[in-house]
Amino acid sequence: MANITLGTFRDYWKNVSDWVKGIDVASKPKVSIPDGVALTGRNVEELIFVNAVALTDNAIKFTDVIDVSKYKSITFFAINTHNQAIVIYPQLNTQRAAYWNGSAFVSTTSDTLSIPSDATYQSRHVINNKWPQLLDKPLKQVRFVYQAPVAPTSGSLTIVGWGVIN
Amino acid sequence: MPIETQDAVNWALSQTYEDEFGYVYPVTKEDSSRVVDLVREYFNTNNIEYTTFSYSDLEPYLN
Repeated sequence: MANITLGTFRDYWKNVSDWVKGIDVASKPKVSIPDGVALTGRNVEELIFVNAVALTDNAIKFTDVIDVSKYKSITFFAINTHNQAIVIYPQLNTQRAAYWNGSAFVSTTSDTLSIPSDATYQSRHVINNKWPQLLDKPLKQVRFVYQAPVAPTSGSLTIVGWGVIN
Repeated sequence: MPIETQDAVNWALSQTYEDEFGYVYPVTKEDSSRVVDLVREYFNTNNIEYTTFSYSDLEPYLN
């Protein structure tokens, strides 16, 4: 087994650092950062499908259709502060979506999720696990359908995604 | 939106809320859910008629 001293490590990383920064003019760096671009390490973006809609009836409604093709994964969650539960389900683009459950296709239209009310703490209800066959796959365009089975008299609904950029 | 919307927004932004650990925070215009919920509460308390609305409908009143 070879022994490597701390000094060797230090010299190695200094050489790498000099190469990246361009200090090592002999080899010239292959890494460059355009002006105005900062490497922050931040690779998660927030996608707002619907932002605090205060429902007053029990009509079926739709969120915006959002292009999510730049994300390799998305954590979807809903915040329901209405004084009634809200039923939601996803669609691909503006079309019905169905997934194979092992023995049959199941349409999300008949496989909905009820988001319970939490006006006090505004709980973030993560919804991926309801439809992992759809939401945990690569996606292009998504929207959600939502409805209050009983018309609420207070509160609102928000549906958000936190997407990890490809 | 009702003509009382600006009053409702101003009232909402003067409120506070308490988290589950007892800490109290002011409501800010970035807190979309709380702003909408409080505006709706103002409408209800003052018997102001309204239909379904969202945070985007309140944005003109937030500055």
